[in-house]
Amino acid sequence: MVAADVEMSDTPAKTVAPAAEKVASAPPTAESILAEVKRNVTTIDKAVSGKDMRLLSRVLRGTTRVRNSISPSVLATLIRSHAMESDAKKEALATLATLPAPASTSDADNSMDVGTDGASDSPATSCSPESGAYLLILAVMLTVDARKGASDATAAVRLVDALVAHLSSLNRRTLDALTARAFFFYARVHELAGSHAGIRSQLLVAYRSATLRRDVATQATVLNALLRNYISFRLYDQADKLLSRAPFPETRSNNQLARHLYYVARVKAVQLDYSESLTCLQQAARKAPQKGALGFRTHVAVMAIVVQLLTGDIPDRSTFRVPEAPMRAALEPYLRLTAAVRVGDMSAFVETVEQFGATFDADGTRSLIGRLRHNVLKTGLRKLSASYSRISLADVAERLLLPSAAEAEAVVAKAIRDGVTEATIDHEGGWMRSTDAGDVYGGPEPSDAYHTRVTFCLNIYNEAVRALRFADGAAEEESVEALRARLKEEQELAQAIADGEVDDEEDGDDF
Amino acid sequence: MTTNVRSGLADLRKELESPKPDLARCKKLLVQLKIALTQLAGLQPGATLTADAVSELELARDVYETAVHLSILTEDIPSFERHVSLVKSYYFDYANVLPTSARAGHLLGLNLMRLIAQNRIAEFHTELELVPTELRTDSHVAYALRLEQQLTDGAYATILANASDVPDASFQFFMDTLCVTARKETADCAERAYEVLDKTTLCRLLSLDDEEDVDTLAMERGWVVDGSTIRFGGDDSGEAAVDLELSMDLIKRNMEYAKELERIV
Repeated sequence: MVAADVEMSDTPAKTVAPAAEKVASAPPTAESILAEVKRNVTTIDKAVSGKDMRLLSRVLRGTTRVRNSISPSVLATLIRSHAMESDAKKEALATLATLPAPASTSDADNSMDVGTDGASDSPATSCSPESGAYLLILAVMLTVDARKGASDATAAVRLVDALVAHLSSLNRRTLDALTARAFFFYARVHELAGSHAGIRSQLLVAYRSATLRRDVATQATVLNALLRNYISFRLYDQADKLLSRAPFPETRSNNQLARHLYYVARVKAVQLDYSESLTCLQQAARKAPQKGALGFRTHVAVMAIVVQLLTGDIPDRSTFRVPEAPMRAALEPYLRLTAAVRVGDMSAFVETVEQFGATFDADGTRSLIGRLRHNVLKTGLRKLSASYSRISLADVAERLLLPSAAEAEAVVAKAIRDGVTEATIDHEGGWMRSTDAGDVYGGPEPSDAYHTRVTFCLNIYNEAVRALRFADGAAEEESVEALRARLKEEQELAQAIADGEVDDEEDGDDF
Repeated sequence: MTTNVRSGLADLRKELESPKPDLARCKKLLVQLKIALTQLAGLQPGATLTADAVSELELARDVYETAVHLSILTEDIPSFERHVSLVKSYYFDYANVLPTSARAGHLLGLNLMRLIAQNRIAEFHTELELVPTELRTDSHVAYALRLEQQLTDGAYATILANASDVPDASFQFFMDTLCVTARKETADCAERAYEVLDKTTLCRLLSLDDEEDVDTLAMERGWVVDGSTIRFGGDDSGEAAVDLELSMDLIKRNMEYAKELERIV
């Protein structure tokens, strides 16, 4: 996989999106972006006072665009004008001052002026902690983008630390969505700085308080951050224990669910629970955004291919035919691998593993692929027994690259015991004789295949039912007066319609 | 304090390395050492990592490494597991602080070997992920890796033939457990794969000492001894059990479909 892809893959689903969107829409001008951020701040304040969380989530959805086009100086001005008292504000200003203006906004100085003018027009009108958090998160995003690849990440770390401390000290339900975002970047920044071994206890504390406050957004984000943390240190044991004790919240964003499924699949694959792992990966692929998030989708696809091979299935050819070129390139080694496993060609398999060893290491699939050796053996043996009614064990050893005929005999014996092939061994003659395969429709395979499909369909149906959105129960709890007023209104309306009908009829009569 | 522990550890090692170690005395020494360890300042929770603390941590690691060896000699598996998990925390959590132990490969290989012998393959792979790349080439770890591969491939005869060829005497204990499993598996495979087999070959496959053992095994498994050959009779009791399991599965699935359909309609 090319270096760029590896970098992308570090933040599944989120940082990858900008690249795609940047191409799609022309970068907005500094003025328009300043206006948009200001509008967003007002919207957030309105959302908080009106307790309408949908407005807030709408603002958060548009973050990516803002993130790509706002310049540090403009943001600094906005933060300065915001009335909030916290260390995070000071940190943010200090960090933003060191950031270079993005190359795309050539009128950086210009925008600075606009920023100051704008600020003086509306001095510190906004004061909700939510809008402050929004601005600070934007600041963190800019820092992350600017420092990508740079070794000096201490400033960013100081900034997120201050931000998280600031948000944790506030106990407001309206902050939940923003706190979740903040924790995502908290984990991300520490990972980039290489200090993520030390944040586990902090994350666990955050998880606990999020659970106590029923803050599902933060709960989901922090749980994923923890899993990611454990997996990056290969602590699959701890990850598994965490999974079995901490349930993933039912109501959560699709992106978090996709990530969660991916991490679960990683853990299950290491523990040889391939079918469970594969189910998770397939769901993760479906829940992931269909546009953008290329790094995440690539990783899911790669894992799905390897795990599917381990279950003994061969992935569909269409899996490798993806429209996006970088993803297709990343899947190329796996296509070769699949080809080797499909025909049970041991030498091709060994060759592929040697050739793409570095790629597999980078993808973290090396040890899983090592386990595929056995599958290649099995397929190879099945092919041999299908094509020859009698074959000498020495030949089997040669075809499957086994050290000796004796070892081949043992391997064949085990394959027969496991039901891989239908054959018997003649020790005296030194060959393997295939016996007729029984009626495949007599066995449990057809019903198994049918069962997986039925389960899949039922699952989709149940998920769809669960995803239905119903009207708020609050609307129905009207007071008696309101009910009376509404009834009266309806009566009047009915009267009006009746009159209208009469009118209509009258009109009709004219013709 | 540290000097006490150090001399105690040296005593314990000397006793262990002697040709006939007095295990009861070793256990007593170990308990004393563990008590002494609790009094070291560097091992207290939340202690700062000073140079003294680091040397104390290293000492504690050495004590637990020795304890693992003692557990092998006393063939006490629960205590082996406990001590390995203690040592692992020094290996991985203090990886940046402590110098790598010379015995790390040996101990990790031994732990992998234990999981193979206990047929805990999923945990084997979880543990293997933790073994750093540079240690995978260590002879002890590589040995465990090779064994695992031979087991999955089914080369039981190779394992049995090389049973005495272990990288260290401490592996022998687990190897003995593994041999029992391998022999049973070979017998299972032979039963299915061959129609007839002569006794000498079977004897060699199972690495049994003489052909009388084969006769006993044949009696146990219901094989027909026919002069110098053995005929494997078709045994249907296993298949009946499989059939029952299949039917149960099928019934369970159908009930599930009915339940789901009920919910949809």
